Amino acid sequence: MTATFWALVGFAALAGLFMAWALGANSNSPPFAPAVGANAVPTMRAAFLIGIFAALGALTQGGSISETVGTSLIGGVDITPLAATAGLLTAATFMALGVYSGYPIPAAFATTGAIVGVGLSLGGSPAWETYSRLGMFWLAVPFMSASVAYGTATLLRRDDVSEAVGVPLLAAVVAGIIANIRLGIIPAPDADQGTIAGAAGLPFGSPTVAGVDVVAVVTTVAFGAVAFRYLRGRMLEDVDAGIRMFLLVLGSVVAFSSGGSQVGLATGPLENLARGELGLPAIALLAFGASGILAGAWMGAPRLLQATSREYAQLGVRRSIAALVPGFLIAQLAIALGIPISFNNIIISGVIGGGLAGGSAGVSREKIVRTVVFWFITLGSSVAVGFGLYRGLTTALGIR
Amino acid sequence: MTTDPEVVVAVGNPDHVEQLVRTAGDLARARDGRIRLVSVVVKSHDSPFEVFSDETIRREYSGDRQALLDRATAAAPSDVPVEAELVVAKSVAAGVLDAVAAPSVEALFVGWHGPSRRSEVVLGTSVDRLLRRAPCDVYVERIGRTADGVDRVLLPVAGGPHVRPAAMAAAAIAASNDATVTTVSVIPPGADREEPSRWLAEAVEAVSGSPGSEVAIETGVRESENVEDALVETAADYDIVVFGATRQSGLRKRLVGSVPRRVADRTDRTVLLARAADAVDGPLGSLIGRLQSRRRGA
Repeated sequence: MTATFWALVGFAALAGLFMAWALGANSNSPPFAPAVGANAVPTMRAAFLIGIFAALGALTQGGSISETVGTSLIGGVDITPLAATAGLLTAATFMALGVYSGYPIPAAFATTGAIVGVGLSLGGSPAWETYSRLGMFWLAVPFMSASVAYGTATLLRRDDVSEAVGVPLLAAVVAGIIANIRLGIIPAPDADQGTIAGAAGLPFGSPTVAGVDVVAVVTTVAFGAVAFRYLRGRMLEDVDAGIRMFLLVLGSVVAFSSGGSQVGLATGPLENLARGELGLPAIALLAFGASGILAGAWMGAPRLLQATSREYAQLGVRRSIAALVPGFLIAQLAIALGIPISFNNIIISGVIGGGLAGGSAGVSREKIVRTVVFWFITLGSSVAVGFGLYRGLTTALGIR
Repeated sequence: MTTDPEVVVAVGNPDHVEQLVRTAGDLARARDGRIRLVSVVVKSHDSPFEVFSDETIRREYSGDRQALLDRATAAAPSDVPVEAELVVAKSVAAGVLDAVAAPSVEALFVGWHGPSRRSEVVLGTSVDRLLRRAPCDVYVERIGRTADGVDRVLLPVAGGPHVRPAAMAAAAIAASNDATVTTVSVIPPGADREEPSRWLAEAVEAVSGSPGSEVAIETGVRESENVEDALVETAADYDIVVFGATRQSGLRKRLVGSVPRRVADRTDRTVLLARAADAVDGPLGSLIGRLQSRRRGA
């Protein structure tokens, strides 16, 4: 290992850490903004919790998307340290541009584009199969998010379903899903990551009836039932206090999911370097990314919370919940499928869906077109910039 | 679109809204123009409202802005046409700059609520940005101890392009209140009086040449080692002090010099700062200014 190699490792690690920091500072505050807006938690404590939950999510759930970004976006070549640096710098520049200019530039698109760009520049072949998978998921996100939000908001608006039933019902669904999300810390016989519901069956030999894991089903139902009963009890005492509590718990699990779905954007480009060349375990790389996210969230979240919490308060509790529930569902789906995703896209679609349930979305066609156009521009130009930057660096430095 | 001259009032802080609108009314009356009250609904780019139409945001999510505009409208003088407008923008400064972009806008009024905690900010991030970039005359008003009416207006001068808008406002306020304008220059003891005489003559000409009815003008030269102390002392005998902005040299040219700012800090009188339209930065200057204010999170 030469000095050049180690210098490159240092640069790549620094670029990755910066990317994780930027992601933490800018992508993780929406989950707690409704809770802050509803006065369920003070701003600074919310920022603290965002950091903790996002970092935990990154640590336990970040692996799948990290792997996709690091190994599935390009065929035939491994991402070298120089290529990782070029890709991360490109993605971070796009993110900074978005923060600076206020234009909608999703980090997931910028990172994906940048890695494809440097990969092609390295001489790799396009992984068309992955691209079509990502493309389909991305296209479906707005519709899924809007539909789930529409359903949630409709449930909460129904006069024949009281809030003391509707909100605990949502809590039950969320708890049931939590029992079934894959976590890096839970053992599983057939995969890297297990679920709580799956692990519960292990001591009993995971008995199945008609191919269904019985204990897993029972565990899922139990999770849902406990959540329902607990929240219903709270809401019968005091409806508003119960809703505030749900907003807080929902915010926590969404922040957790957000961390899990964002960290891969920073650690993915470093996968080959850390695990292939340095032989580090996956958890070490994720811990590295998680620490960047933690620092970023602690530094960036208070400002963003102040800017957006009042807006969620104006939006109202029902529509806030209606936007967060799909945020949680889709982020978990993306993690399960290993697809990089931008959190803001989900939330915005959710807000629109929740509005439709109220009769009118009140959205501007012009602003939607502008936003979507920016998404495409981000994807296209990040491929080009990543390609060009790596070509430039490799020519100038004479190394790969 | 109207071609009458417009005076735009940025309505933000509920304190002293009425007085800000009244001063703007004086100026609009003198210019034979109308008042446009503007309040900005700020939606940051991280907002869940990103793709909502401006109309929806104005209708449902403008918070207390509409009520504030209504209050301001009620405070406007009855002899001046008034319209009110909610603007949706990513920052206060961006919204106000949008509103003053029309060529019919001759002046912008903004309130100012005392010194900023951050040293690199002259009057507050938004106000600084407006002072640098608004393409019309800009007036920044710090409402002081409220008195019944205005009898005496103080106009300290030391030459420069900003005397014109300052004189215009002083004349307009005096005309509406039957008050006297006193223009004054402060010089070091024993210094040559030729330059201050020229400044005062210019100012008198600017006041009497301003649109609106005739006003009584007095002039005076004060000798003092310290301009700031002399002005603070003099201001005590007046109801309102109107400053022209002064340019300071330096890497970043500040449009508001330290004297008006420090006098404002030390007096309880109402202070009005005027910046002339023709002193606005060119495209390059405004680009740099924009980047700087972005960096500060404007």
